Amino acid sequence: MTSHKLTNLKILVIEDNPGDVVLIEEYLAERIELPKISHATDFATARAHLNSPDFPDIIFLDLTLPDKSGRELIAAVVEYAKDAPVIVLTGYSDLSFGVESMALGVSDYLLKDELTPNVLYKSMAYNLERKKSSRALVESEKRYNELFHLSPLPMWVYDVETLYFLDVNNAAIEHYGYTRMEFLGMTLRNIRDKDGIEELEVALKLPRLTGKTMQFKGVLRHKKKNGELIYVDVRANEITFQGRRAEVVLCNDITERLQYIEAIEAQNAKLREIAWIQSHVVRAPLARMMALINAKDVIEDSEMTQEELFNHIMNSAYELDKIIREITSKTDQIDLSLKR
Amino acid sequence: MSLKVVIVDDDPVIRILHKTLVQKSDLDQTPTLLENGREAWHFLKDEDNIKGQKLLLLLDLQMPEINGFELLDLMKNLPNQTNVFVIMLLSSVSRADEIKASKYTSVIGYIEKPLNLQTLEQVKTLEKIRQHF
Repeated sequence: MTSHKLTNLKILVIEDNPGDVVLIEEYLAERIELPKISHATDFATARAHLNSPDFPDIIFLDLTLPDKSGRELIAAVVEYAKDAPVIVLTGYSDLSFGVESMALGVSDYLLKDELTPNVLYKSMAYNLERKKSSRALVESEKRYNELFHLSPLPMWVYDVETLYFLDVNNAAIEHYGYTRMEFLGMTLRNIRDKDGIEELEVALKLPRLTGKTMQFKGVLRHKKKNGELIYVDVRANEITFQGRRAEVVLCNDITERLQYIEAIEAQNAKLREIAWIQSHVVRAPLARMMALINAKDVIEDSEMTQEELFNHIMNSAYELDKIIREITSKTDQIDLSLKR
Repeated sequence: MSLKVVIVDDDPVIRILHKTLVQKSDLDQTPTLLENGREAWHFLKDEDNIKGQKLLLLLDLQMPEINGFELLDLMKNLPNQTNVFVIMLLSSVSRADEIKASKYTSVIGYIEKPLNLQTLEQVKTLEKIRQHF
């Protein structure tokens, strides 16, 4: 039976013994559909192959070639092989070295004297799959690494016991002004302002609940390298980092936002003042006007002539006008379009 | 006992208008006109002014020197308080002013300016004033 996965495989056999080559190619043909087998009898040819666009999916490597052998050969081939698994073919005499070669990046080793079609097939299937998994893992790690390092908000990891920074991302470096090296030599104390440090020490001494990750969130004051004080919205989570108790922290600089809120609250106070003025001061001349207009029917000429009445009404109107203008000018004093 | 109306307001126009209204409503044909809290306090301190009659104060709140509430505080020290009634005249009625006014036993009501004949007719029906009409 042939597996779907192992069709149209490009296989490079690096072997200088012609007999071994024939055997291997025969065995490969037995278990694999449409194999594309290439052959190199020395390292130079093999390297040329690995540099060509006709890159193999998998490589079989004999340990002794005319132009290179042993550890040097393995290291070189593994480097050129990149993602393709390298399967070493050894004889009994260099069996122990075959085992050692795994540490050098070789995926598997097979004893030439015990090769069968099934052995070859099994090794290829297994090692191709394994390479795929490990590649996926590496990419996943890279992605998560990027999540941290390329996050647009400052982030860092610090050691809970010593308060030292263990890792820091680009946004933090840019925002706080310290280089990566400087950060790694600092503790949280260096970026907290004085009051914050005592709070921190107290909080860290509290016993941690096991089995539950603790989250911290709050607004703190931080100090940049240039001495500038900023307000940050901090979120932190417990993690284990390089075997140590640590916390991963995200900081959002909200200084501007808080200033804006402060300005708005000052505005509100002014507006409340204006509202109060409106109700009392404005209404006084208005009430007088209403009284005067009402009075026209009841007031005697001896008390107040019609002309005097109208003059009083007019004066009240002017007074009202003046008060309204004052309110308008007070409102103008409030900068309602704060520049962000 | 007769009822004497005392108009306390810093606005001269209002004083004239309110005097006319008080006369026209028959509450008092010769109301006393006072300019501010200080004058009102001197008037009230004088026993002769209070003896033998009931006083109805139409009291403006916003006045210079001593304002309406400040006068009410001073009035607590008067011996003959039971004969003095106050109606506060407010430019605009705010909840805070209402609550504050209700704390004084002498205050029997408040009116939002301007005063008019209908309102004064209603004043005549108030319990403390009724008996005179």
